[in-house]
Amino acid sequence: MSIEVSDISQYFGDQAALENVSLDIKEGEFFSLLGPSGCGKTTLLNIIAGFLYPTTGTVNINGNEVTDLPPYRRKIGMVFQNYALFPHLNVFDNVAYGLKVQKLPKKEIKERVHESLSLVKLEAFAKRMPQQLSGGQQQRVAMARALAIRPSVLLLDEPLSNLDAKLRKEMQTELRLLQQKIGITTVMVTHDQEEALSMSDRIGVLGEGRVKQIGEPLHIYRQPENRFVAEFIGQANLLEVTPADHPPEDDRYCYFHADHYQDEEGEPLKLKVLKENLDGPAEHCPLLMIRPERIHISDQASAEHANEVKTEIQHVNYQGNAIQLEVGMQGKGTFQVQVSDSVFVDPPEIGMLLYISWKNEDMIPLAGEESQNAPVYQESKK
Amino acid sequence: MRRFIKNQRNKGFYWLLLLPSILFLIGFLVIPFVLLADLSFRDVDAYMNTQDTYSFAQYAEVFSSSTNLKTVGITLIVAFITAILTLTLAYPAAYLLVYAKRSFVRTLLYIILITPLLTSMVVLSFAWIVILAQNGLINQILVSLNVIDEPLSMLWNMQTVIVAYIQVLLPFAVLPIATSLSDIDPSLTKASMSLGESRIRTFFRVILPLTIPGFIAGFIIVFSLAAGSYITPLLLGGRLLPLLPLNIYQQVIQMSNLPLAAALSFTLLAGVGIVVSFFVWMLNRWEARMNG
Repeated sequence: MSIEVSDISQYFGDQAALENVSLDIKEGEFFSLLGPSGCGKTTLLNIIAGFLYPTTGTVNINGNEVTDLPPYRRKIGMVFQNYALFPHLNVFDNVAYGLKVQKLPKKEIKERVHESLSLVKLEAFAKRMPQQLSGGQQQRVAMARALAIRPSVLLLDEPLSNLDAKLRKEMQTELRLLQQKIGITTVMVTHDQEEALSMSDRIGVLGEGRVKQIGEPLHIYRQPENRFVAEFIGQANLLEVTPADHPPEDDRYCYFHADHYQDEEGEPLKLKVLKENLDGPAEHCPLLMIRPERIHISDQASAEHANEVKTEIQHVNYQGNAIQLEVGMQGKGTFQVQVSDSVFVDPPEIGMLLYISWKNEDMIPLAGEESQNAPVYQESKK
Repeated sequence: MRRFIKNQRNKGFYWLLLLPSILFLIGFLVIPFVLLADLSFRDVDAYMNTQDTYSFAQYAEVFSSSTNLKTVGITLIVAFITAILTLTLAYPAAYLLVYAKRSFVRTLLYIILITPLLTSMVVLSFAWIVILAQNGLINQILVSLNVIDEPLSMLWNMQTVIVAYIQVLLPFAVLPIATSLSDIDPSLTKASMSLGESRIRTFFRVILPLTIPGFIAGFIIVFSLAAGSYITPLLLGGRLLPLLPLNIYQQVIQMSNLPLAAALSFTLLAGVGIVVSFFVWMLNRWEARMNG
């Protein structure tokens, strides 16, 4: 079933929690709402579930408007951050809870509970009480309970955030496989970018109550549309740039100055970007992004790459499989660089000279600040 | 080993902290209790003077008299009815106390709830006399409105005593229920509603069962206090009502038969103890079930 969220705004008093949010979630899709705490993602999930009535806007499930329906008439399956298992009921009765509402015959309830429990591989635990289960098992019971009613959509509210790191990874895979097996439309709220990137078909990045970008994980990471998305997901070197004069014979490139980056003589860093990589004229591109892992390092200058900068190592953060370096230009300005552990035989030392370079296409132009830092609710109040 | 020694020392320190209250309880609860037990087995002479000889005479007196047995039964039944009615009234109040949206409303409700606890039982009971007496507030209003010709007799009966009990004991029922209500995770209600259950049926299937511990705790407190209370029935019901605390009071003050009063006290204690033990057993069973 598809979910359409159109033009949802939610105010708490004067405070806007959500502003003109629209989403189009396709049938069978695993869609993640990703954002920092306080961005309104949980509010939006509660609106889809029916626990909150939006100030404006509508929610459609499978083409039918459900905005006015209470949660218990929406046929949604929901999994909560703390699982919300009924502590006075055993696993069987927890899973059977929603089936008893439908007044199904006892035999059918039994069959469907076992079917749900076998989906999450917990048939043997039917008689246990929730307190006797580990966090991962409770999480799976919560899934089984939500799926037992054969809901039209599945809503997950930070479902894995209470699990330890290793179990969380396992459950990510398990949950994703389960979702694909059933083919149920799923909306997951999470603040964990890795989780969103690895599990989702598409991600909606929310910030300050607005949709910042919607897209496939790869697209969101590689082609963020604005500063917010670039900084929230992964690490990013952001270079504020101003257009510079360019030699008239060179039509393929746009030339920029990054004034916050200077070499030992105080000359600003010069950048040239392929024209076809820019959305519009150079004047409309105030910001360029380079991901730390897209930067190449070398201990000597070479002419291989178009953009090469002489830097000095200022900080080394060893992470096991990768090394995170902070390198500074000799005037001012620093870059975050991430290289594989195998690059260095001996760990790099602070003060070492390093030539960093990147490809033209690895410079991603971002939209200006004013388009995303607009005053939060003045316009929609009109 | 070091750790063990440290723990031992800590334990000693905890006992030291407890010592003053333990001494107080030994001096003013345990010793009087033993003396009372001793007293209940003493004989009395014709002038009700306590003798040095021991026998079961006082208990024989309690259990051979059908009046006394009836009084024991009525006392327990009245306490039971009081507890049930108080809990029924306390539940909505506790619900409001926990789920009121604004925090100042919750604070206000708490203050209203606690105030009677800071007032003496005697004062509370006298307030009822002012309201219910022959020339009291209600009778004056009803007469002046010509609803009735003669003032109604509303004092000196069991119903009035129960109503006053409920008023005095209500906070003791509200507080434990409110505690167990506020322990309930709000997402349980959401989970139930997402599974298709309406708000009202969610209350009966999730909230109510989860407040059973608070319910039982409230019952035990209200029941024990109602069964042992004598000021309220004495002031509102008069000393002729068949309630065991009144009977004990009479034996002490009017008959001066202290051994019989002691025996009656232990009978009351045993009666309350049996009922309370049953509910404690139920509470334990509930908890054992929850923890599997």
